[in-house]
Amino acid sequence: MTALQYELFAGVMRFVFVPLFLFMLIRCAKNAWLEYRYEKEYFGDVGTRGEVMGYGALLDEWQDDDAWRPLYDDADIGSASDCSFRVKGHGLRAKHARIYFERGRAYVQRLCLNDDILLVNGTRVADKMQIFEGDVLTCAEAKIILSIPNNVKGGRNDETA
Amino acid sequence: MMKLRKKPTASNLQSPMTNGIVFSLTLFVLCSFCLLSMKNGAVDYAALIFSLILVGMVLFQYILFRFAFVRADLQIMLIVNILSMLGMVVQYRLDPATAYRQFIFYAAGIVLMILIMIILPKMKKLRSLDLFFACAAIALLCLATFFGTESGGSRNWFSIGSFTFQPSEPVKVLLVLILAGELSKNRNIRKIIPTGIFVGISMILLVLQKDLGATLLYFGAALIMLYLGTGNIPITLAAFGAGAGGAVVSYHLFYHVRTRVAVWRDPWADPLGSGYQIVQSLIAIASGGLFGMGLGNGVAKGLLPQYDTDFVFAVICEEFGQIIGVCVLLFYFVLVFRGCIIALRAKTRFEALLCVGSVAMLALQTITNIGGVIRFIPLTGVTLPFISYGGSSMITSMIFIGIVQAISIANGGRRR
Repeated sequence: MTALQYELFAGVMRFVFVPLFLFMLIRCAKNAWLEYRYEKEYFGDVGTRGEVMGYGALLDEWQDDDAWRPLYDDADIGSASDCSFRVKGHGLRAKHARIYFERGRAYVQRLCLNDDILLVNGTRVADKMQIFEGDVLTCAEAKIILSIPNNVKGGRNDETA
Repeated sequence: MMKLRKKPTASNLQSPMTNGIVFSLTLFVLCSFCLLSMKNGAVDYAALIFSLILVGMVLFQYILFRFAFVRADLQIMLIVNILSMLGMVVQYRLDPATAYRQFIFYAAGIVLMILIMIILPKMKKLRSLDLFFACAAIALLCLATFFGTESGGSRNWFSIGSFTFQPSEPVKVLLVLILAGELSKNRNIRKIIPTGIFVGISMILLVLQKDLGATLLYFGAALIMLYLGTGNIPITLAAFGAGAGGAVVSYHLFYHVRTRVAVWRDPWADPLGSGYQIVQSLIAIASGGLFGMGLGNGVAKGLLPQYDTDFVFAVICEEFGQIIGVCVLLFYFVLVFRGCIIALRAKTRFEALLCVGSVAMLALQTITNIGGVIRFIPLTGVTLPFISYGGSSMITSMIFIGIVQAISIANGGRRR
């Protein structure tokens, strides 16, 4: 094949390569999107919440079944709208505390200032403290009763999950 | 937006339409190498045999992922192979000897990726090796800083006999492992200060090596992981500010940084001197047009320095066209999208951070390379993952993909 013939042939082939790449790209993108949609539909929201690790309710309302709200791993308690455990009208900070799970144990962590009220069964939480089934968490004026099974699977550093 | 009429069942969850992609990829490889085999008059049978070996590698991986690693992400595997095959075609067109070496690195990378996919889900104590990884990372960076050889203006290569490698490439993996391990254990800012000091020391060593690209990558990946690990915006902004301050200080302290920025701002001021690379790169991209000049018809090889590594994207745009150039960019985007979904599905914080750190590193590398080539940011000398020639780069990229696939396997609740 002469140089000129090659140039012509290569010039024609570029019109084959572009549609091939476009086809592969569209298929890959479509597959990626479809898998995401199917997974979301089949397994629920991706990453926004995770597994339910326990439940919590305001102490005044605990007898009402509807008052119990699920606690996911890394549940933020506060008055902000993006808190997974939002409590309004009790003087809570936007992000007051966080409940997280590590090696099968549940902990509460202070996110508010040191002067703010954060107690577990009346004991002040300095930085973080382990919490158990039936503990009462006091965040500002709100008292929250927690229902957390022992040895929860999942959470941080849990190899059994 | 597509609406699903009924809740999908497990059978719906199988990856649809992947056979077509494999067929198209095979067609692309065979057509490209058939074309290249006729470039120099007589038929180059080596090119045809090479294309068959490449197709065999792709099919082997496809079958392996379909039947042995059913929980691995098939889309990521396909995208990695599409980009690698494009790289292989471009490398063969530029220099067949380079392509053969690149194939060896690609094959080694595939083997490593598969090993990681098998071993990583079983390694439960990986996060407790932070200190060991940190010592290894600093030692590797010191090797290049104090005993390294200079190439392309940076002292970032280290030679042992005839074997040379870039220590900053494996350190990328170590950095992601260290950050994921530490940030998964500690959120308290006081406890992650030692990790911050480690990142700072690494970046100082890279600045001493004059390796701007790696410095940018390390900083970007650390910042992303810091934000995702702590969720603390003020601390992330403070870290960003510290990095930006460091960049300004580097600009005033180092001549080569000032030169790079000056060339980026106005490459046409000295088109035959300091601005030569970027000017030739822009000319190559523009001369390709939408559909390119045709495989083998480009002239960038004779004009563009580092055409097979840093400026391979300009060669692709010149010979395959800007449409395929944009496709390449979008392939990386889909890869990162799938990586983020795998990270979100991870059951432990360590796995999530490891996955997101790996894809962030690949994404930043792509942005830094293509951004430099199209004059979006200053040139930094970073390779394009899977496409550019380079053993360290190819193997490191494959390790990152292996990590992402291993996390997908560990957390995949279903057969794909």
